[in-house]
Amino acid sequence: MRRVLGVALVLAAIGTVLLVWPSSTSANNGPHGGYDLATDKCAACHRAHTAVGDDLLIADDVYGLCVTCHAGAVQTDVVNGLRTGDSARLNGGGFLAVSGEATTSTHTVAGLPLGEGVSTGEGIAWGGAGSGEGVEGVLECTSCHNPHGSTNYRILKDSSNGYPYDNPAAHRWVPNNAELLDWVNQQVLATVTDGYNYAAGNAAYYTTGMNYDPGTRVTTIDPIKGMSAFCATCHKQYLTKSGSAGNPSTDANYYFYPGTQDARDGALDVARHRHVVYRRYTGTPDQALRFGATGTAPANDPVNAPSYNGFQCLTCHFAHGTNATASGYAAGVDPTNDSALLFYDNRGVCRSCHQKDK
Amino acid sequence: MLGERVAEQRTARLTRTRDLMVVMAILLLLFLGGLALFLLLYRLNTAVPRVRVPLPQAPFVSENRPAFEGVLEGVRRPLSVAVSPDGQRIYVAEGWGERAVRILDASGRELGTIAPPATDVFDRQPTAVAVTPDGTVFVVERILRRVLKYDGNGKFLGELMPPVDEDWAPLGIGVDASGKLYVAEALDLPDRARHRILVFESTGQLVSVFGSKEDDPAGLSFPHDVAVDAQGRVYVATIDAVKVFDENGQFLFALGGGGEVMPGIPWGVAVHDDRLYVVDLTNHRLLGYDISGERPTSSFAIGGYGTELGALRFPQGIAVSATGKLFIADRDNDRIAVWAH
Repeated sequence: MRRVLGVALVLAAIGTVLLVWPSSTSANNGPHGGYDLATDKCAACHRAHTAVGDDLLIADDVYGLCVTCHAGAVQTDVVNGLRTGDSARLNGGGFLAVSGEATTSTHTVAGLPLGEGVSTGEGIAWGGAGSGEGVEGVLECTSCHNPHGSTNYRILKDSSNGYPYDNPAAHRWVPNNAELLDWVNQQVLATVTDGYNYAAGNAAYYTTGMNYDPGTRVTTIDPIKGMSAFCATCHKQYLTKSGSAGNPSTDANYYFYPGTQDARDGALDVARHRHVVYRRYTGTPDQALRFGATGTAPANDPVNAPSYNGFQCLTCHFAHGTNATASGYAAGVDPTNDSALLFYDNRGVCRSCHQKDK
Repeated sequence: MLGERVAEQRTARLTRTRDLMVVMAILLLLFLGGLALFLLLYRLNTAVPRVRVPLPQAPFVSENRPAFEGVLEGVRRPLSVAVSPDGQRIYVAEGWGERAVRILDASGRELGTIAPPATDVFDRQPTAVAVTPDGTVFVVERILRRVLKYDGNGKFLGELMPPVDEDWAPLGIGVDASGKLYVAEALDLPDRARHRILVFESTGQLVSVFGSKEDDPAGLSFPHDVAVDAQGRVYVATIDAVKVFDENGQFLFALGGGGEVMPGIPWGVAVHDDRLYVVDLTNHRLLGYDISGERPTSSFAIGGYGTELGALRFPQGIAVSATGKLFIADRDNDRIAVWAH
């Protein structure tokens, strides 16, 4: 009996300590998260009565607001495409420079200095419709990023261009352990936990659409999730599924994005087949291409390690800007007539995997 | 016999049941106690705002407001500005274009540029510039992670070395009246972080180091500019407030929180006589304080968002000449705004 009581008391004490342990708000998130009921972080970007931009922003220039910090002051320098402090290259590249060289193509967000002027952000998301041209609109940093944070370290939005890029009914991308706050009564209503745990245990999923199940030790691919689906919310044609018109592939995982008609049918004014994404790649590319979010499988999944090499848009393209150059055959190739945010000069990204000289 | 055994078993069962109930009761009591304590702590934690040292909400005194004089143009995305002791040279660190430090005369005519040797535009990014009382120019190069030293004409003289042979990440710099250099370092990597101020003699000898990124009123989160007043108080601009320390690096108070008289995200700071100037970047204005007393009192605000003369768009740096002329790096208007008392 005494032993039972002793164990019970120890367990109760541990439980009580865990229960009352004060939860602190992270100081590392700046204005992008860690909001509590007495937060003052809203005032970093918003004004209730004196705002001059949309969404009560303190400026009508979102880019200008973002680069106040993200141009060398804090860790992520999106202008120079590097991590401040050790100059590691940013996964997204930079708007002005990448690897110490001028950018040759960028996502021209509104407010970005261009030559003597400033970008309006107006443009076309290529690959968005059957004819090749796509969604028109004004691109801003907040078109892709949620400044209020997400589980993704890139703080990417849970929807883009009005389209959730995963299944909103079942797997809405919500912040892990996000607090639902009752501002009127100053209470925490609930804690939401994302069942897929994008943040820690399965980081590859939100980027590649590959879902590792530690129970079965099987990695499955969900093509409507992940980074490429995110890009396809504006570059919409890339969401076309296997089996659509003109697609010769029956491989469910071979996510192949044709236009409305096949190039071989003579209708040359329509979009062509798209390069596969979400394809597992098990080889070793010549040049360092990025595959999955982490590039490595969890320590407890040695069997499926190669499957984490999920091929996706960001395997070949930067999101912000690139320093690659295009010449020869690669120059003037539609749809963008430029380096198309690619990693390497010309079509070095192709050769990285398709090593025809070996 | 059978009856006794049954009775014993029943007694033993009852004893076990009673023990179990006692354990459950203890667990329940501890849980409820813990829950009550948790709710109490949570209530206390959320009901009390974070510590801020309030300033008197005095209205702005209009006679203290400087007058707008004009703008110096021809610079791209100016991030920082400094002025020579005689007021005849203005040094502007550019965030776009050539990304060098432009040397302008008082009328805005370009006299030259300062750039690190053997670099091109994409290797460098000057984020801060300061001039010592003897006219020596110090430039913080954020990408190179160096603090470089030039004469007033831009001739390269050397560099300020970090305290030990380690990588450092200088972001801002300030100078006091004696020529001491205050380097603001902001390094925030997954494996190491340093948010601090390093004080050097004008000869380059390290004098002291203070500050860290602790989540308390004294914490320095990405310190990016420094100014020192006649009393030796050190004003450090951080992401969330201007943190003020005494000459020994002991925290005194903070200026922050937004509103009418407090900066939202303070950037440039400068001191002249009994005045402290704080660039309130996210409110697109310059705030002035009287610092003749123990605590600053609000004095004026100028600027406001816009492109017209007198307005500001994301101002960052500030410098004050010996005669009290103000030079504000009006970043997104691509110009230096000049005001004077």
